[in-house]
Formats: sequence, C-alpha cells, structure tokens
Amino acid sequence: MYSLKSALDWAHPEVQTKLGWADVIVFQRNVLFEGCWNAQDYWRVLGKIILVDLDDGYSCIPASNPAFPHWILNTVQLEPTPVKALEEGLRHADALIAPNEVILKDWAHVVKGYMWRNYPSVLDYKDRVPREHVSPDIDFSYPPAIELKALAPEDLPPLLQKPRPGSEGQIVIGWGGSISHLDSFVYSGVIEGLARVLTEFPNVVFKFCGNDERLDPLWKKLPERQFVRQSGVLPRGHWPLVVSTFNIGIAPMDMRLVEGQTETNVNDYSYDERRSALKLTEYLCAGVPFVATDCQPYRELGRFGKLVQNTGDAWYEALKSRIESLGFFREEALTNRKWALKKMTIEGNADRLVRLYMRIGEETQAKAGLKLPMTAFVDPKPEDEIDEALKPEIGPASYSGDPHRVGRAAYSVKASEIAASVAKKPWLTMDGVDVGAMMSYSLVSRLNQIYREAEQKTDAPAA
Amino acid sequence: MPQPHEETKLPLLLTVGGRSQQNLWKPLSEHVQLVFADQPAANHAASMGLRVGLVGNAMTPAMIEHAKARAIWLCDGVLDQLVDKDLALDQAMEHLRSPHLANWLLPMVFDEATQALIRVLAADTFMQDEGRYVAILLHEDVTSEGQAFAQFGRMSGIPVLHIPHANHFIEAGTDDIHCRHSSDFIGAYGLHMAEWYEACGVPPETISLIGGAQWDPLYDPERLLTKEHARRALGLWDDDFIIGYATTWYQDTNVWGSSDDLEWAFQRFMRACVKLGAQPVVKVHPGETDEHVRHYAAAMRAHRLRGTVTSWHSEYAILASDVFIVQGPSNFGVEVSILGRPLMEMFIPSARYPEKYGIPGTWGDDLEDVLQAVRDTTPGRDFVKAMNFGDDGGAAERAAQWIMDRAKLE
Repeated sequence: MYSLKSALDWAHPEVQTKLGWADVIVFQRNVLFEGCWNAQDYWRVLGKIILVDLDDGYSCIPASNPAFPHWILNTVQLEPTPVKALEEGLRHADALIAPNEVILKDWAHVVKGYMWRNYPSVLDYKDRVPREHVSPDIDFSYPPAIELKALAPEDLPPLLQKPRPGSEGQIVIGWGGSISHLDSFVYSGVIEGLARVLTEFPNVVFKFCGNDERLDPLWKKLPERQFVRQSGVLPRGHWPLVVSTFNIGIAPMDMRLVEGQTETNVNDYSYDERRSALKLTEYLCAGVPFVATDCQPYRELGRFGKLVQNTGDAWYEALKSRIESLGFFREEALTNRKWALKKMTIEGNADRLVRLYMRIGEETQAKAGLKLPMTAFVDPKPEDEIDEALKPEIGPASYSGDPHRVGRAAYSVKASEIAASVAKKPWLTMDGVDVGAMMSYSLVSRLNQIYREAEQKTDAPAA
Repeated sequence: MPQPHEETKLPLLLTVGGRSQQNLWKPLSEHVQLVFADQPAANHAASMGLRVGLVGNAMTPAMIEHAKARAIWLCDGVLDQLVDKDLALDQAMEHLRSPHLANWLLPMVFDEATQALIRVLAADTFMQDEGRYVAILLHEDVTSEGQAFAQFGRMSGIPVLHIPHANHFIEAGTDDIHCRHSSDFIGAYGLHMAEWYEACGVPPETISLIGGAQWDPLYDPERLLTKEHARRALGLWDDDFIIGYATTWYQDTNVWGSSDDLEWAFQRFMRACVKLGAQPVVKVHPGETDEHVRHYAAAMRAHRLRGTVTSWHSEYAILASDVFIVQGPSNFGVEVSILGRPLMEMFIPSARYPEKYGIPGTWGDDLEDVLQAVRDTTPGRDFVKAMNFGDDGGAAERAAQWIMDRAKLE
C-alpha cells in the first residue's frame, strides 16, 4: 500500500520499481487533480489496470457530514469542482470499485463499476469471544499521549481494559462509528425506540462508541444511567474487542431520498444508502445479534438479523424481542459467526478479489479490441471467393419423432456382441482382474468403427 | 514433477484424474494426499500447488515388456477361439470376414490387451501401499483405466467412489456400455443422473446427490462476464442477434446416426443464421480437432456469415449469445441454463433431454421458428436443479464432504 503521493511521482526511480511490479493499481477516492489523472494515464499506458475505489456518495453528501464543505461547498476552490473533478478522475480509470451498488449506479455513465464489499480480517475476529451479559462490560482505553492514527495495527500499544462497575447482568446495545452519522440517528427513529426499551428494561444500556458531540443532545432523551460512552472508534486491530462487548448491535440509517447529483440521475435512494454494509459484517463476525434499518446496502445480510422500517415502534419491537429472547438470538448469531468467519472476511475472499481484478483486466483488454486466442474469427468480404462445396444443397431432416426411438444402427448391436464374445472369455484374467471387462469399452468403439467403415466400403460402387 | 507417494503422513486417495473433478482437489488435499493414475492430471494438480503422487511413475520398461508378452499370450487364446468359430462375426460384410479378419481383429485385441495389462500392472504397484488408501475416486468406470482401478478397489475392500463427469441422455437401462457400473458409490450431479443410474440397476441407497463441482465457477459473480464484454472478446458486434451453437462429435461407443447427420445439422444452422440475419458463434466439442474448427469457419465464410468459432472459451460463447443451440443433449446445455441463456436442442438419434423439462428441440426443418420462439425464454430452474443439485455453486464442498464421509475421514 502506497500513499497517493507515491503514485503521482511516477518518474521517481523507486516508484518506477515498486509500482512497476503491479498489475493492478487502485486509487482510493481522491482522483481530483490533474496530477492524479496524469499518473492514472501513465500507468494505464504501461498496461496496468487502473481502478478507483469509492466508499461514499460524495456527489450528494449532506450538510451534516464534515466532508460537506470540501465536496459540495468547494472550500479549497478546486477547478473544476470536486464532484466534477472526481468524474474526470473516473474517466481516467478502467473501472470503479465500491462496496455499494448505488454508488456504482451514480457513476455508471462514466465508468463501469464493480461491487466489492468491505471485509474485516479473520485475524481480528477469530479469537474474540462475544460477551455474555452476566459478565462485566469492559471499558477500553490507551495510555495518554499516544498518536494512534500514525500506528499500524501491529504496532498498537497494549489496550487498557477496565471492567465497567455495575455492568454484570447488563445487556449492552451498542453502536460505533465516525462523525458522519448524525442524520442516521436523527432521522431513523432509533432514539425513540431505544428510549422506550431502556425505560422498560432497566438492565439494558446503550453504549455509544464515537466522537460526534453533536449527538449529545439526543442522548439526553435516553435514561441517563443507561447511557454508556466508549470514547472513539478504536483502530482496526482493537475495534473487534469493543464490538464483542455488545449483546445487540444496531445500524440505523437515514432514509430520506436525495438526488444523486450525477448525470445518471439516481434519485430514489438516500445518502446513507450509499454506505457499505461493514457494520453488519462486523456484527456477524463478532457473533452479535443486530437490528438495522431496512435499506439497500443491508438487504443481502439482513436475513442474519432484523431489518426494520424507520419508525420508533419498529425499532422498539425489534429491540424488545431481542432483549426478551437474548439466549436464542445469541445462539443464532454464534452459528452465523462460523459462516461469516469463513465467507465474510478478507482472507475468505482474497481469491475472489484476484478473480475480480482479472475479470476487469480482461474486460479492459476486450474494450481495447484484443480478442481471445484459440479462436477463429470470420469476417467475410464481398470480394472473397466462395467454396460452394462448403455450402451444399441440403434436403429435409433424415429423422422425425422421438430421438430415443430412431437412429440405432444394426452394427452397434453386432459390435457389442463380438466385444462381449472376445472379452468374456475366462482366460482373459490377470491376477484376479477381469481384463476382458477392461477391454470392452475400447473394443466396442473400435469394432463399431470397423463395422461402419466396412459398411461404407460395401455400399460404395465398385471401382 | 509429481512423485509416487511423496513423503506425507496423510492417508492416500487414488484418482484417475479428470478435469471435471479439479475443483475437488484443493479441498480434498487438506485431508488426503491425492495419487493420480494420469500424468497430465497429476501435473495439473501439482501446478495448483498441491503435493500429489503418481501411480504410473512406478512403471518400469521391464513391466511394460511383461505386459506385451502377456498380451501376445491372450491373443493366442483369441486365435484359438476364432479357429473354433466361436465368434459371431458378420459374414455378410466382405471386409469383416476371414481371411481379412486376422488383419484387423488380432492386432486390435493385442493393442487393447497390452494397454489393459499395463494398467493392471500400474494398479498393482499402487496396491503395494494398499493399507494407506482410503478410497478410489473415479469420473468414469467404463474405460480400461476406470475399470482397472474399480476392480482393484473392490478386490481390496477400498471404497470405489464414482462421480460421473457427465449426465447421460441416452435411454437408461439399455445395452449401451455406459449403463454398466462397477463402483460402490455414485455421487450424482443431480436427480436426473441419480434416476438414470438407478434405472441401470444401481442400488438407490448407494447414490447421493452432490451437484457438479465443475460448474461451481459459473455461480461466481466476480468471474462472470457481461454480454458486451463476451461479444467484444469474441470479435462479435454488440447489437447483433447472436446464435450460439455447440457441436458434438461422432462416437463409436453409442451409435447416434452418422457423422453426415451432424454435418447436415450444422449446414441447417448456417442457413438459419442467413435467414435470420444472425451472427453465429460456434463452440467446438472438446472431442473435435483443429480440422473441424477450420471446417466450421470455412462453412461460415461460404455462407458469408460474420462470426466466431472457438474450441475453448465456453463461458464467453454462452454469455455472448442471445440463444444457444446444442447439437444433441449435453452438459454444455446445462451450462447454458445455469448462465440463464435461452436454450434449444437440435436432435440427434438415440438421445435427448428429458421431455418433462420442456427444453425446445427440433430435427431441424423448422429451426428458424423454434429459434424465434425460444429467443426470449429462459430454461426453467427445475431443469438446472435436476441436472445440478443445489444449483448454488456449492457442489465442490458437498462432494469433498461426501468423499470424506465414505472414506471414513474426519
């Protein structure tokens, strides 16, 4: 993995060597500058397959999203504007990859798109044990003054783990995410549903794992003592520890329709419906039962949990049923987890991703006019001479009726009889093996052939 | 290069190879070491990074000479029988009766017997490690190779597992050689295959439904092409009416009319393409040669048809087509159906798809009408399910488990 800056510096000898090995180069998201487009073109000309990976609906990003000023208000004064620049960047790619079908539709007028899910690593999940609610919940933190962003997962410092006082016996409904989910909570009805179940079940808490302080007023609608905050979303290697403390995971989505703001005019989905299904995938891999908004990206995995319409009642009913039958849903989630750790992880899909890249490569070559080997292409020209013998007059079909009842030539039976006669002799054995039976297939075939040729010779007029 | 019985502690599973089973090799190799009877298959498996053994590697020139000597002795016996006039040869055909008889029958028997005996000796070398073999896996049990290992397995009490590489569409229970069976268990591609073998006398309790592992890749959405891509790669035009045609070959083990019938059907197809203004894409049967490819291409040129002939690239041919004709019922038609393309059959004598699945077919006189009627249809999924149990791309997993169960391995 290289920074975008490396790819752009394609004339540098070290970049030449390192990226020169690649067959496929994936540019993530920010193909917004002429320098990017030049780099994309350069590597493409060398025969690399150039992909752009988008994981968000940038063209219709809402005002509540911290990236709105950049993408929509164009605060950095890009010319063309970021969305137009992204479109241009996509024109310099062989394909778009996104974890969401709607994103692919948004850009279908520019470039061919391929769906590829976001998968977690099995290494991060396989040893996690989903918390039973009788056990204490854990609060995770790092030693102060560590800049986590700069650290690779394997270099993360040891995580400090502290049991949360009084949490034994508490059922934890959890959610974790970035600061782009304000609308998901405001417009999904989940707060109303949560407030009702927390009030009804005093042993249930809601655990929020995020940094968006704009949500704080919403939490005031929940019973104060049943709201728990886990600061931040921990880096990849440690995040599964937090997910595994949830007894029920939630994934609310804002379903207000927005215009896609691209030329394909995809106007019947919300902005949130341009997100990935990573949350559900993480819940599955962690063995956590979940309730989520019924939306496009969640439809496929929804069968492993519960998808609800965005009303307070629907959230309440779904959460309540999971709380009341927690044992059953936990067992179900543990069964689903076994499947997910095989099928929904990076490791379980690596071969598929390679095949997808190969397919994109083949399609790119086909578009460029390359054709398959071991194939005869026929494109006759008017001036070509015609071999009339290859275009003989033909009469009607020789047969009619049920194919099973026609066409059995006499010599087949004769050939079988002779083969059996030769092969079934008792002296055609060796070390107890019936050599005659071994020879039957070839004998029948060759005798038939001889019969057929003899018949043709007999039928032929004398020379 | 694969070696016989490379150092490994895993139990051994003998297989005669067969590309139809190649998707099983990797999952099976986690539990057993595969020992191949077939050099190309062993090489292919080794190229997939698998550690495999090869039975034939143990054969020495002396053993091959021994096989030839035994074969001559067997031929002597055949000659004695001929002297006794025990063989019911056709006296009506001049070229078959004596004295010509000795010209063709004895060399043929010698040749076949030599090959069979070499296989017996090869199988015998594998028996030296008898105790380590947990099963024998076949993709057919009618040729001398399949027969040899089936017989050895049964003599030694090693389970003989047969996953037939193709559905049969001739009538079950006839005297056709494919109706014979020599294995202990059959892993059937689907209900059609299971019922077919049952009608041939195989006890139903020994037949399991597993699906066709060779078709699993057709269910992988990341692999499959768009129609547009398939057409471009085959040099076809995006907007034209494309008719696919899968040829077949003239086999001498079943008698299906004659090679003339097959050529007639192809010529009829050419005329249909001209009448309908369609571009043909011809998928040549693996049993046919480069000469056939050239012939089909020349016939297309003679009809002034733009199109493509390929002996490979089945999926491209299918996905590029608006409708596909199979010359005689075949597994290729199952692939067409899995991929959801309209399918029809040009009949050949002695075989057809079961009528209950409603695959349209014709002897050819009304070919254009049938093509037009089929164009916007899709074969019923019940047909696919009957031919490929599960219809889900999970056959390799099921087959591997089925083998492990019968080999009594965890």
